[in-house]
Amino acid sequence: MTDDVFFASITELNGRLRKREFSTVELVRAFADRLESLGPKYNALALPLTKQAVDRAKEIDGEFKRERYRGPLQGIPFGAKDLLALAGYKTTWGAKPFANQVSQDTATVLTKLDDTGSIIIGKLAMVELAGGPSYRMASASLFGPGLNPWDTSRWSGGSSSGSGSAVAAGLVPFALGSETSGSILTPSAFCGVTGLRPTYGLVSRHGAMALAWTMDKIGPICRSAEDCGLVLEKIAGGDSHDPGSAGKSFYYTPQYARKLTDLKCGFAPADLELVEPDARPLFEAAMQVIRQTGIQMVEAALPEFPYAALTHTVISAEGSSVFESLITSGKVNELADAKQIAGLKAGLELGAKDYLKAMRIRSLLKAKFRELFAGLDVLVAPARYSIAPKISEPLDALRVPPGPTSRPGMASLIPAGNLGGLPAISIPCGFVAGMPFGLQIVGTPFSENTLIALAREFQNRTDWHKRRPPAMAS
Amino acid sequence: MKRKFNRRELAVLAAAGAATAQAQGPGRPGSEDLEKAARDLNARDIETLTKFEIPISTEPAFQFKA
Repeated sequence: MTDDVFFASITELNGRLRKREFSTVELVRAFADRLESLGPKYNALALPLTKQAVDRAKEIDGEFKRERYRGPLQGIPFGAKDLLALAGYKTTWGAKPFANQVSQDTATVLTKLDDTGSIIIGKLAMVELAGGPSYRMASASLFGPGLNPWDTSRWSGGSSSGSGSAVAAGLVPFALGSETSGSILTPSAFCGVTGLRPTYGLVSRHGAMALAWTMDKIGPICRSAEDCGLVLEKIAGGDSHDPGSAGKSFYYTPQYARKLTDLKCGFAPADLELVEPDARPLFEAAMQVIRQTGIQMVEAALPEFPYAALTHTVISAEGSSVFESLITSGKVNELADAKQIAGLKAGLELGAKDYLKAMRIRSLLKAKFRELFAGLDVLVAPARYSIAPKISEPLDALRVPPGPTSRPGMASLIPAGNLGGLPAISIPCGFVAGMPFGLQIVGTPFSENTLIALAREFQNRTDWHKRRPPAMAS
Repeated sequence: MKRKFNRRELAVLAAAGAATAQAQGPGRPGSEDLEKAARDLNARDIETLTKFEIPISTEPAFQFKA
């Protein structure tokens, strides 16, 4: 099996399985061995599941032999962020106080993927408690700092750190991550992979660790927009076990996507000045590619809201409630990041009126975004405004600073999109000093097909998503 | 309606509070400063949100489903 297999798309791998170029057992064993040997190099591996994966692969091979085809994910290995429960196995939530927690149940998304014939080969590392209300250092994890395959002195991003680096390093064809405010888009941008944050409620969170009930989403991190569409179709859908479920399905239907020339794309000219100086030429070039797709470009501005204060208040209040017993028992002090410990404790002191105030402003925010999207179909902006920081650097500079209004340009788009429950996709759009840079496309609720269509067209015209980290280059 | 506590109940509540405080902290060196910084950040956030005008008819952005 050549190295190309480790960087192939889901469609290509499934096609080769069906042609019997290799068996599912061979494919699963190859990826699982690679994940076990290279995963620790990036602090990306939480738990290898090789034995059970190979057993399942044997069953899938039997299905291929009988020509029982389940679809494009059949026989495809994947990894899951270690906040997704898998019955009988450890699910640590990336946090020392939960290091020995064994799940009794299996997350709905993992059951759904198993039904497609996709095979979990490992749990992937994450920032402890998905970051809680805040954290200061990349080392805020039971597994150590997530290391970036493009430069291991830099962070892979969080909180889905292992999911981002495992896909980038070719350790899994795709991974599941989760996002409360930036945890799929950030590692996707920093690691040079494609990550999709679904609309709030589209994908069941049953069996996933809760951080903020009204903001948590689960989504795929893949090699391409097309792969994100294939995975999202299989994990989306209503679930009575998830109180936040929208009860909607998703069908990846690129053949029915609206023509890009009929769509309007909002952008903020100020973003060009806001990205780090070395990234300006590539960001400008990426926007030019977006323009060349024929989509109509329209200058736009985010509605004025105190995004940082809103996001922080909602996540603090909900997160501290989720983890109240951890905090009051004192076990919270076992977490790795002192800032997160302090933030969780302080969150318990937030009053009901403060939380409700934030949630009432969120209603106004939703209405303003509906108005904004009345004249637009998507917003495009840098996924992050700088490349991945060094693991030794505090992460404070990455955050939206508190203030009465939003930052200029689209710099508040990650908290804004998460507060609004809006879907987004991050795609690689170039490199700065050898490090990937990402572009985010955000749309109205349940407009994932539109986002994927634009991202797919971008990827048809560029090859940034096909680049491999130096150690893996063929 | 305000509830009156007798002396024994007050003693139990005080002991529970002290036990919780003892269990929670002290975390590690410098944790008090960080905890103060976290409380200050929450206070600043609330101050920011308070300045935001909310129409009286605005309901919070969640829905209870029976």
